[in-house]
Amino acid sequence: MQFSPLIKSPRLATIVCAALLSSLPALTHANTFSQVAVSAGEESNVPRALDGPNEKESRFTQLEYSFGKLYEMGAKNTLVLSAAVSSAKFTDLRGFDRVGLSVAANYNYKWALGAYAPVVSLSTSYGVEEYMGRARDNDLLTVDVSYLKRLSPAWFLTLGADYRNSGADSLPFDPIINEFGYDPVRSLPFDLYDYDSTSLYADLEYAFENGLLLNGGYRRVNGFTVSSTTTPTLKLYKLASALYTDPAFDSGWVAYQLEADTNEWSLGLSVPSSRDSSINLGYSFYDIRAVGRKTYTNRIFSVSYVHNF
Amino acid sequence: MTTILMKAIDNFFQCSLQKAAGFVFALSVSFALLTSFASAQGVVLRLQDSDGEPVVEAVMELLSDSASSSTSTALQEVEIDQRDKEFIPSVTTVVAGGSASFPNSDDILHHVYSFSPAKTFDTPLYGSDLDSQYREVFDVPGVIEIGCNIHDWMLAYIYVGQSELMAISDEQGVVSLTGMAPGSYTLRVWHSRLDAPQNYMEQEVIIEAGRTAELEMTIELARDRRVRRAPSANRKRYR
Repeated sequence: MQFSPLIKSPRLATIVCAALLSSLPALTHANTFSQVAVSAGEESNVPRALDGPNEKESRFTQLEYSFGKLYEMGAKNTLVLSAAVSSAKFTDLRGFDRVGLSVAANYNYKWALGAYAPVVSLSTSYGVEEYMGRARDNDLLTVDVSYLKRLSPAWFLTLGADYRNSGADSLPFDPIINEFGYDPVRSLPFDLYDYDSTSLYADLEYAFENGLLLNGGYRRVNGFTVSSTTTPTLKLYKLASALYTDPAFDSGWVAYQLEADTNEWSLGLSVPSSRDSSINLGYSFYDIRAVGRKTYTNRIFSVSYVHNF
Repeated sequence: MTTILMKAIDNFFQCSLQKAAGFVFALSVSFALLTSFASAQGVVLRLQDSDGEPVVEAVMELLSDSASSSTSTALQEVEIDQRDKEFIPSVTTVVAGGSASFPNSDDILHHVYSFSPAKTFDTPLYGSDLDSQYREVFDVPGVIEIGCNIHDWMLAYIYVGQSELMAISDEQGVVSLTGMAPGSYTLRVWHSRLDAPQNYMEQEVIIEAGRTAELEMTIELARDRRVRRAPSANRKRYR
C-alpha cells in the first residue's frame, strides 16, 4: 500500500492547520468528543460492474474513529472541528482495502434554544483515501448544507444538499491500456477519481419509546461513478471520461469513469446498547444510471456498533 | 371515612366544572381514598400508571388559600447537578421565592436553559470552574423545564410550589406528606408525562386532625419528551 504524504495539497494543509488550532484551549470554551464505529457487512457489486460476470461481491469490515471539539460561539451558534481516521478491509477483494484520513468543520445555526429548534448546518470536509494502488487513491473535498428539525420526540427530519470534489493523483501512462484500444490522440485522462458531483438528500427518523430508531433516506447524486470491467469495448471507451488499469485486481481489469446519476435508498434500524452506544443494521440500495443507458445496481448490508465517548 | 370520601369526590367534580384551565380528569384516571388512621395528620398517595407500574418522580402538592400552609419562611436553595451528561435529580421541588443552582460535575461544558413561562433563562456555556456563578430564583409557582443546549437529551423539571407542602413520589410510586394543619386542601398531582393539560390534576381533600388519608391514583402517561441519547450509525454527528 502506497501512502502519499499527508500534506499534498494547499487545501489539506489549510484544514489541517484549522484542526491544529482547535487544540488550542484558549481559543474559547469547547467540548471535546470522540466516537468509534465498527462495522461489518456485505456489498453486492464492489467494482460497480455493469455486466453480471464482473459483479464481485465481498464482505467487509470497517473501523472509523473520529474526534473533535465543539465550540459554542453564542446561544445559537456552534462550530465543530473534527478529524477522523478510517479503514476498510474486504475479505474477497483485497484491492479495495483502504485507509482514510479527514478533517471537517461544521457550523450550526439554531433558531432557538433546545432540542426542537430547527438547525441549519454548514459543513466542509477534506479527506484522503489510500488504496492498494495509486489509481484509486483520491482526495475528497465536500461542502454540505442541511436543515435539521426535530418534529417531535419521535420524528427527526434532515434535508440537505452537498457538493463533492474528488481529486486523483496524476498517473503515468500505463502501456497495458493499449491492449484495450487506448487512443493517444483522444488523450482520455487517467485520473479515475477526478470529478465532482452534487446531491440532494432527505432522511427521516422515527424513535420508538423503547429507544429503537428507524430511519429511511433518499439521496439523488448527479455526478460520476467509477466502474471496473474485464471486457472494455470501444463503445465504453467512447463513453468513459477516464480510463486506467484497475489496480484493485491482479490483472486484466480496467477501471473507467462514467458520468452518472445515482439514486440511493437506505433503511436503518438502531438499537441502543447503552446510553452512549448502539448496534445498527443498515441497508442501502444504489440505482446507478450512467451515460449510454448503462444501468446497474449495488446493495450494501451492514451491522455496526457506534460508541460515543 | 365514608363522609371524607364522598366529600372528596363531590368536591372534585364541582371543581372540575369550575376550573376549566389546568383541571382535566381523564376517564382512565381514578382516585380512591382507602383508609385513614389515627396519627399525626397527613396524606399518603400511591401512584400507578395504566399498566399498573409505579409512577416515580410525580409531585404531589397540597394547595390552600390559607397563608399559614407554608411551614417555613426560609428561602429554599436547591442544587441540580449535571453529571455524566444528565441532570440529577431530574425532578426537583422548590418553594416560590427559592432558587436553584446548576453545578457542573462533568469535565465538559453545559449550557442550561429554560423557556418555560414560569421562568425563562439561559446560562452561557460553562464548566465546573464557573458553576457556582449561576443561580436562578423562581418567584412564580409553576413548572420549569430545563435543558442543555448542547446535549439535547438532557431534561429536568423544577416544580415551583406555593408552599413546602409538596413531595416527590419514590420508586414505589408513593408520596407522602405530614405535618400540615387540618383543613380543606386542593391536592395537585403533577408528572412530566401526565396526559392532561399542563400535566397536572387536582382533587379537593379534607385533612382531619390526627388522621392520615391514604389515596390511590391511576394516571395515563403520555410519551416522554426526552429524546434518545444513544448515537446511531445514520446520524453520527456530535449533538
